[in-house]
Amino acid sequence: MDQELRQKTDEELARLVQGKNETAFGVLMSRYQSKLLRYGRKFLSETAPIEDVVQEVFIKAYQNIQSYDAARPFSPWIYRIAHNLFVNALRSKSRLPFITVDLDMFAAHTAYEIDPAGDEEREEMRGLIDRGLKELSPIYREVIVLYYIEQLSYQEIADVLHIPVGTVGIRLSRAREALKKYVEGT
Amino acid sequence: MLKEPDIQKSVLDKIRAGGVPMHSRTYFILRTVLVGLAGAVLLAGAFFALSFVFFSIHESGVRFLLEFGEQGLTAFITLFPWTSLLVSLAFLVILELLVRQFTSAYRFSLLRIFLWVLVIGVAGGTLIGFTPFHASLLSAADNDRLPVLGPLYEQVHDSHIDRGVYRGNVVSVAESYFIISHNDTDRDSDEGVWNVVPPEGFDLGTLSVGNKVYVAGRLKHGVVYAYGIRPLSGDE
Repeated sequence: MDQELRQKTDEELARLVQGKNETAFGVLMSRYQSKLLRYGRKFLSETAPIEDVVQEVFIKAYQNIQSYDAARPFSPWIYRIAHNLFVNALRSKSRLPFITVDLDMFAAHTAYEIDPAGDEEREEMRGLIDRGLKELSPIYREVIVLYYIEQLSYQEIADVLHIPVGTVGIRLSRAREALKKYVEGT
Repeated sequence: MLKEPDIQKSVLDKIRAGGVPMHSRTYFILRTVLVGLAGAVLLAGAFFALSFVFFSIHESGVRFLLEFGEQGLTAFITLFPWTSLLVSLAFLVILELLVRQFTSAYRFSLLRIFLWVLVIGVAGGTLIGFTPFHASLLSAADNDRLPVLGPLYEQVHDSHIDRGVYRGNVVSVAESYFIISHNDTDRDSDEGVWNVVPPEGFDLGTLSVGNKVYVAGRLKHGVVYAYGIRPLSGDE
């Protein structure tokens, strides 16, 4: 049974969970546990325990699974839940304002080209990330983590963060510049 | 603190023990309906407040101040119904937040969504302005039959004598001045009789006893020295 479930896609598993199949939810959790732990550790940039927050992510995902549209990819949906809980955790630990205003979201960014990162760029960025990720502000840190570490597409990141795709491009570009500047200055 | 492999087991144990109830599909449908209703109420509120702004400017005669030069412009800015405009904008901003939170509208820039919401709000407000909706409420307010919104509508016909704006009927026309009287028998205290000296070049021959006029000027020793006069038609 488990073997059969493991061959199914995330979306097929999510549909089974909607029919109250707990084993299918177990398989989904095993697929996303390490990804979400890595995302949380890198984004929250601290050694404090992230396991409790990830457990909360899975509980929320199970409670709200009926709101998931199985015609759409599952990954951005669960990352969205994780994003909300991580941001709450960040707010409770730092003095992050309740509402943050990002001026990049006001203007239209349709002119920005979406430039998929090649292997070489990803490799270079991994080096920079190891050295300077913690120095970035959370807003830039998160987009770097989702793109270079979790390897989500621009559209998926837009769906996770609820921002326009163009804004994802701008944030990534600014985050890369900030990271390079920091690493070069050290 | 949970160890990595424990997370999955701990969550599944809680689910199996019934400690994690799954929200039903009906719950999400109801939530969507409620959000939709809240959006409709906000939009209706924005339509009402915006159309009231247009109606108020038109009905009160404040728009005539724009014809009275620099002094008129200053009075226009002072008497503009800013509160109604701000209320309608607040409704539209909350509506935008709601739309972004509960739909896929986040895929567009904030500016684009706000412009859309604004266009819909202004279009709806303008359309309501063409209907007798506000006029009938004003009539109800004048007859003391509008409990909550009554004071809001009653101020539409105020003279704003404290801001140098008078409206009334011509009761007498002399060689170099004329007299107007205002008595709308409502609860405010803008009733009175005023001698009005018109601005240079104004032809007093255009005025007759019984005409309604809108006057902007400065009150000095009981005489209004007008910088702008606009005759009003019967329904203004």
